[in-house]
Amino acid sequence: MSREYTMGLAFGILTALIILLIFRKFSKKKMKGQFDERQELVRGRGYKYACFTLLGLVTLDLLIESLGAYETLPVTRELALFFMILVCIMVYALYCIKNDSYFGVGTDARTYRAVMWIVIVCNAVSAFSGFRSGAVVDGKLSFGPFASLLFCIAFCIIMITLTVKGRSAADDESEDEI
Amino acid sequence: MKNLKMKSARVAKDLSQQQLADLIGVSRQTISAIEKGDYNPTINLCISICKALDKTLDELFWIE
Repeated sequence: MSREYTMGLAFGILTALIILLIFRKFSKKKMKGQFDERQELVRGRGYKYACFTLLGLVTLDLLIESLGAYETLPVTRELALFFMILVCIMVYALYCIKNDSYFGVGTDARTYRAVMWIVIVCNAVSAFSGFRSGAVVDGKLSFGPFASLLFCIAFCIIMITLTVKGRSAADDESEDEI
Repeated sequence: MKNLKMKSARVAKDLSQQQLADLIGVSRQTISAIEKGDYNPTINLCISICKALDKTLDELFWIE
């Protein structure tokens, strides 16, 4: 990664944190975000599965590195590690969504979804502009645009799963109600 | 095992799953999971449910 890119990344994360803090400070309705006991249990299991996935993927990374296979692969180690982190996040998020524990009790899911779509669009724009300036550098996929693309795909999968789960939960609700 | 006692007590009080969940501060899915027998609640949650439905622990959670 170039120094400019790293600086840009750090600036982006810092900006996002500041916006989040301002949003929380001035939000009329306090974000509850608390989880009930079943949700805490499910989230704990989700962390466990994500942790084991990370252990497996880090082992795989060490194996690839020790064999020197990154020299021949069309991806850099940075991009591969980023992909592995995203896989772990996906394992955790999808497990929580599947077991209705992604949103806490009283969480405003619509606001969260809106923020997610903004994140997806920003990353899609970033990936597109990155591809225009060059997707392959020295025979390897460049980190910037592909990281944004992977991020975009991962969040799209989460959003689709949330939508599908939301629909099935609505059906389940109408069946269970009095 | 399904908790039909809890479901019938809820229905008798004319409460939906969401209304009961709001009363005791849990998600609707948690109430659904307890009624379906997919989740065993802690004693604290059992007591909260009993208080909300005006029932005793024995009446709702004792398996004969």
